[in-house]
Amino acid sequence: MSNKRNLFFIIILFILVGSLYNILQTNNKLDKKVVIYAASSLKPILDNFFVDNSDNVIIQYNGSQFLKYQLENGAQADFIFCADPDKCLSNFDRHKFCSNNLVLAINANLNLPTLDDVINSDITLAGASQNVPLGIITDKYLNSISANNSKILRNKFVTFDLSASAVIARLETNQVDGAFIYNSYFNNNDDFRKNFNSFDLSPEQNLVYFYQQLRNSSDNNKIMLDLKSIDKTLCNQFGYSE
Amino acid sequence: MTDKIIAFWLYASLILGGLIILPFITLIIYSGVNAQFDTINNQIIIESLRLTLTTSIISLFITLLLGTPLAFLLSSSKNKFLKSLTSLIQFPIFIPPTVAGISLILFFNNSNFISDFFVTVGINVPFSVFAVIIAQVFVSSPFYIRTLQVGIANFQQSYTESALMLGASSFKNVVFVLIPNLRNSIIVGALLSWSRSVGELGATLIFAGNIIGVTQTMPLAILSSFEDANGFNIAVTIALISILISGIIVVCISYINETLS
Repeated sequence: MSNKRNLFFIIILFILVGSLYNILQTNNKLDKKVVIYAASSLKPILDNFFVDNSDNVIIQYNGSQFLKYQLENGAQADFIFCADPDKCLSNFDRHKFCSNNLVLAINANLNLPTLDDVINSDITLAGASQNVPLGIITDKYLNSISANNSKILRNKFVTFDLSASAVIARLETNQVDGAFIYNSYFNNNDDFRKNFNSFDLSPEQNLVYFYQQLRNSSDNNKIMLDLKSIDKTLCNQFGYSE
Repeated sequence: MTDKIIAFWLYASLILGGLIILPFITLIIYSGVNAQFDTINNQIIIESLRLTLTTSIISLFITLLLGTPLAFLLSSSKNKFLKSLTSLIQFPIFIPPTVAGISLILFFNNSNFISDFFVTVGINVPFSVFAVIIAQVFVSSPFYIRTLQVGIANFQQSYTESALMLGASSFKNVVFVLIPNLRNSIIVGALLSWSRSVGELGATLIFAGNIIGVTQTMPLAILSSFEDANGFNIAVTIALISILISGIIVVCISYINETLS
């Protein structure tokens, strides 16, 4: 009985020491790797851009506003890729990255070939909150069209999500019939293109991404140089505009 | 009339029972068909599972180490101030986890004896793996403390009184009389607390962020995968793993409860 008890305590101790070691190693990762905070709508292009550096880079994707809040409250990162200048950090230099256009995605099964058909139909739309860049440019678009059409489209909204990717998730899981989203989603997902029709909206309603270097080290300087040389070509390839 | 009451009870039980059980069955069936088991070695799944298990084990250890004396203190004291602390310590059970996250970030971003201690030893708590552990301890330890307090309340004081009369020291009394007799409460409380840590989402998201391999636990990985353009089935796979872990916890608690009865 005593041996069994000793063995039990040795196993517990082993698990505890192993977990503690693992936690300390995890914490060191933030010092050893280049930490990048990025707007979640940039995932396709950034995942590709850093694919060769995936062992040295940690990327956290989230809504720009939420990333900004984290950095202002003590989070440590080397770079931030922010959507919309207001969502960048005021005390760091901004460098332009890519742009993204607003489109209206509608379930292809609904057979609504024109924007007028969409306006006259009884469908539901997912929208982004006006606290996030997608919501801001959606609102700009709705303010730029006729008051009547704007009112009809606004009445179709059933959600106001806090990130562009949350809006996409609602579309993909068929919770809604359509949504205002970024054009880049169409270019990076075959299933999405197959299942949804897109309506190009006014090109003025585009979103500009910026990147900011928040810490200096030899590693992230290297990435900075790479960004300057490669960003423009990748933008078009992934459905963003320059 | 009696038949109608029985029928109402039956329907009410069926509706609520179905509402609780059927979504899990749906998820298990869906995941059996759609879960991407070939992506089980996916970095997100492995890292989130590793981080969830290690942080929850550490937070459980902290809860046991600090929560046990606190539960004894609160239960044994007749001081009115300490009695009122019992209600305050249960607060994290009732407040939304996001409120817990905001409270923690405000607390650790201001100078106080705990945040200053971490700064002194060179640890930046917010948005680090330590923030994950602290968030888990904050939201889960009240479950352990409350369960242990109930156990202490039901404990027959005559055991410890007899031990003291027979010459046992206070330390021996606690180690050889009190804790063995409260073993079931300790284990059930620990399992409840651990399961709450494993499922913790809101406080961790606000206080620790969502960085893969550093602060992204399984609930956060589900959230991120769900929002990812191609990640729904990965989210389902992680959800299935979570259900398996929860299932093990439920079986353990049921076994202990049966043994107890």
